[in-house]
Amino acid sequence: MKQTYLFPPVFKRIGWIIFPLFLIMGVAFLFSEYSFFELECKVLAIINDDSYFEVMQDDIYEEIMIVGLIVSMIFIVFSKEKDEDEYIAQIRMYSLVWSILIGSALLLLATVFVYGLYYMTVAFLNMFLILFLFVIKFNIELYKFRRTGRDQ
Amino acid sequence: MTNNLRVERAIKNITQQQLADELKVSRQTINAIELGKYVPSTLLALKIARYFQKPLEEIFSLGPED
Repeated sequence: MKQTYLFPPVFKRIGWIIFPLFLIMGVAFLFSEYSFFELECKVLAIINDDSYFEVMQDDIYEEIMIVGLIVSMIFIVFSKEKDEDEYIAQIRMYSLVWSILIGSALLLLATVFVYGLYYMTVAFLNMFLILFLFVIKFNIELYKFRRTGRDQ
Repeated sequence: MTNNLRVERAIKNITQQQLADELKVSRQTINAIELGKYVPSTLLALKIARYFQKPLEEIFSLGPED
């Protein structure tokens, strides 16, 4: 059979449970640089402002937030559905194409029309934009698919 | 591509759900194929033909725009 790169279905549920937590962390950080906790920890900085391969002490709050957001969204969209079949695989691919096109269009618009420090915000949001659009689009399409009438 | 899956199903007197379970796909996929909204893979088409014990061309045929 065809090889797929999808996680088992349970990962989707894990993704949906942890995604809101990281989303709240992300939104709070974006609007007010608010941190819910501080976690000082030794990290390996392969590249830093003026050093390479240095083990240093740093607050890893932002790292946890970014990794958590990306991993939870990956779990949501790249896990097998319970009733995974070829049509759902096609919906996933269609949604992926849609989100890359729309995400790139939004980035282009933002690049042309947003200037100054606000563009840093654009760059930050853009890290998650395509995945986020993919999560939304794929689940809307899945919902519409599951809702299709039982006309027999 | 057109198909007479609905007719074949009526002859065998099975529901979309029963056919879906038999072919290990979701019921909505069978529904989408019947409505002509989805063209199944060759693999699934062959499985459908095998299930109804008919040649593929008796169930699926090219439509005018193909």
